[in-house]
Amino acid sequence: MPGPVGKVAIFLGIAIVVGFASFYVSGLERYTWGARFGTFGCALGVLVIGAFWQHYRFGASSGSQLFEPNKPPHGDASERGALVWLVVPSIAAVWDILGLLTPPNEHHLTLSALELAYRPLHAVLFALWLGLGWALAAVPLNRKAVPISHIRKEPRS
Amino acid sequence: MSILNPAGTFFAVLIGSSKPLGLAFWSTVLLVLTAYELAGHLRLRGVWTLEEVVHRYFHHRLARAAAVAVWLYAGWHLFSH
Repeated sequence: MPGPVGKVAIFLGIAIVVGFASFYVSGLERYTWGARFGTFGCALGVLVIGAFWQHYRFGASSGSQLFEPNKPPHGDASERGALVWLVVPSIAAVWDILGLLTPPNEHHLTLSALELAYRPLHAVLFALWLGLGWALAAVPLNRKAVPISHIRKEPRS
Repeated sequence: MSILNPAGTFFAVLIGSSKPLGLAFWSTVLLVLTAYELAGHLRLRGVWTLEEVVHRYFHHRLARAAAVAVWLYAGWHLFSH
């Protein structure tokens, strides 16, 4: 495993690559093959690299402290912490639907309408979308019986 | 048309279809989730990272495949459609 400097270097390298890709691809004109290839090329890259990373990180593991689907992934912490990931997107979804239902002569305040109006938001959203894809690709399925210590290496205080 | 979507009309009246307000709302949503993710990586008690949420609730093959499909659809809708 790389040291602290190596980790910072890897993080910066990934940030530069993702930032450049987000800025470039989000600038492609929509409804074109360039936008489609750019978007789904990045998606494919994230899924493939995430799968390889998953294999590298978890492939040979056979620890005794296995993931139990019926329990939170980290010891004594409450599952209420996961609610943020449900509540905030739910509020955003309600806002999006209401924005979509506004009369045609009004400017829609949906995420897709606003990200088109503001280029930086478009690029940031693309980067966050790639991050979400990474989480979906790099976290192993239950069948691999991953040691919890690999998901959260340090106990919560 | 507006009679058919009273909730949307009310929403438009309520917020005035203000683009800056919409930008502020969506920026806040993205900032909150990003800050929460960072807090999770800093090991703050009770905070879940996205990776842990995926690990906990999307550990079955079907659920993961559905999530990836929704993710791809979102990418198509937001960035290429």
